[in-house]
Amino acid sequence: MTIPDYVKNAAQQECDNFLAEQTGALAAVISSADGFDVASAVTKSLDPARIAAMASSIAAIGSVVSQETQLGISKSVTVNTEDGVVYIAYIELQGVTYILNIIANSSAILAQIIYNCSEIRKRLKVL
Amino acid sequence: MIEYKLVFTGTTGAGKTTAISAISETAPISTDVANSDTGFQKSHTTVGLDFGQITLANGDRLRLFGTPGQSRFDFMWKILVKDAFGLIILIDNSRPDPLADLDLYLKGFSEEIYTTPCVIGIGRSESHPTPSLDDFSDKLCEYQLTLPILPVDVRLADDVIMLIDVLMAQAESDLK
Amino acid sequence: MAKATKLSLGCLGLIKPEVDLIRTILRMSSRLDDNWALVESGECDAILIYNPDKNYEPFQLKPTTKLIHIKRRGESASGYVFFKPFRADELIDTLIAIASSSDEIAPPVAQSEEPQVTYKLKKWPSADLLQQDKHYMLLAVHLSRSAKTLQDLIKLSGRPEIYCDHFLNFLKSKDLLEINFNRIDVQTTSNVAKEQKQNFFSMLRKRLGLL
Repeated sequence: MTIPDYVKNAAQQECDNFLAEQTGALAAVISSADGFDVASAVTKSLDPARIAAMASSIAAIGSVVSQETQLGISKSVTVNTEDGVVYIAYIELQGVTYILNIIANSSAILAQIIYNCSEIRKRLKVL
Repeated sequence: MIEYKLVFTGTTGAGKTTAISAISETAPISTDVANSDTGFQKSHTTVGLDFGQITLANGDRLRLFGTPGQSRFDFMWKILVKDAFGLIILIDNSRPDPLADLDLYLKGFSEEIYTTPCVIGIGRSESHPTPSLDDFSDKLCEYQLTLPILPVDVRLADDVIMLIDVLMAQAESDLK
Repeated sequence: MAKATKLSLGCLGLIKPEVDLIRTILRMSSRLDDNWALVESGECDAILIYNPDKNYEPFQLKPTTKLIHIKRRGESASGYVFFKPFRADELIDTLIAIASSSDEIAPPVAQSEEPQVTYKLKKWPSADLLQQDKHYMLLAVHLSRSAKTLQDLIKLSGRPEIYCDHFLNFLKSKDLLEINFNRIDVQTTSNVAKEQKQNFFSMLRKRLGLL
């Protein structure tokens, strides 16, 4: 499951752009389904490797919940917190499932994060 | 209804998911995903948790949880082991350094391991006799721990049941 | 621990050659010192039972009568057990343990002589010391958790005193035991919680086929 450099670079660019452009964004991490970070942009002392592993677990648990409850394929998981939001969405790179993980503070608007992530997913899918 | 929680942890490929499947009355819930780590000869790996259960005649339940093996998922270890009545650490003796693997879990569960019943199951010890069970025992001594160490084949329900029997004996021994 | 009168042993559910074997063991064992006699009916101090159906005819049970269940080797068991295929030394050990516990004048040795002595495993015994014996392993489990007296061990394991004592001596000879002469009892678990947990384990053992 090796990603070509140009795809990796594009993924990194998306993370950098997201962090720069999205109000309140604290981290954008793209990880493999089994929790390895392949591209990331973070602020503060957030550890991309740690975020990648957690996103992988949360996404996997989201998937079994949707499976057990027969609600179809899981697309994303949102964790709303007192001071912000964590948004975890499945994306594809070269036909393989990856996870986009966004962490943002309370100044971010969830709908905007969801829209932007959807755009990132579309752009990366066609690479 | 009383529910107790039992946690299986240990190295990738040691058979945590298999152990739960061997004794769970329902098909286990599994969060396995494609493995991209070339260090392991495994197509899939658990990233969230495994779950199975055993219901008793009176409706009480034993809930079986499996943790992800890799240390990058150690936050899940903490979540899953909370309030567990017992912990089973499975080590794959065919891996390059099984004693270092044991180190990892002894450290990862250091807050629970001195108080929660715990047993070490060593897999593939027949084909890979080194390190010996005594070597594992010596490793535990470094942590001032005396924990049961059993050779196991977790594909066999009887072997998994034996591990649980040992945990129950430990828990009963702790009841004063 | 010999008694003035012989202790009586009954056999239920055993075939004749097995009963003859038991009779021979009682007669020939120097360790039993001719303390036990096989009886065919009436009151017994112990009964060897195979596949019990709660009907003890033609024997009569006293409150002190000990039941020795016959199990196949490898089957799980608690209390007094005699495993098939029969081994004379195991029956002798069990009968000696019963003789000791049924002696009303002299209390069991461990209680009278060293009630405060506790034992704790220093290190998990090697596989060859445990000889793949499940009972040895479970005794080691109890000794690994916290310091235990011989009586604790008998109560927790359900094994005969002589069996537990032998195991302790064996571990002592291998320098695997930490021995303490001043036991401090600490009540750590409420009775309700204890009972709840014990009931759960008992039912779980049944569910897993361990009982």
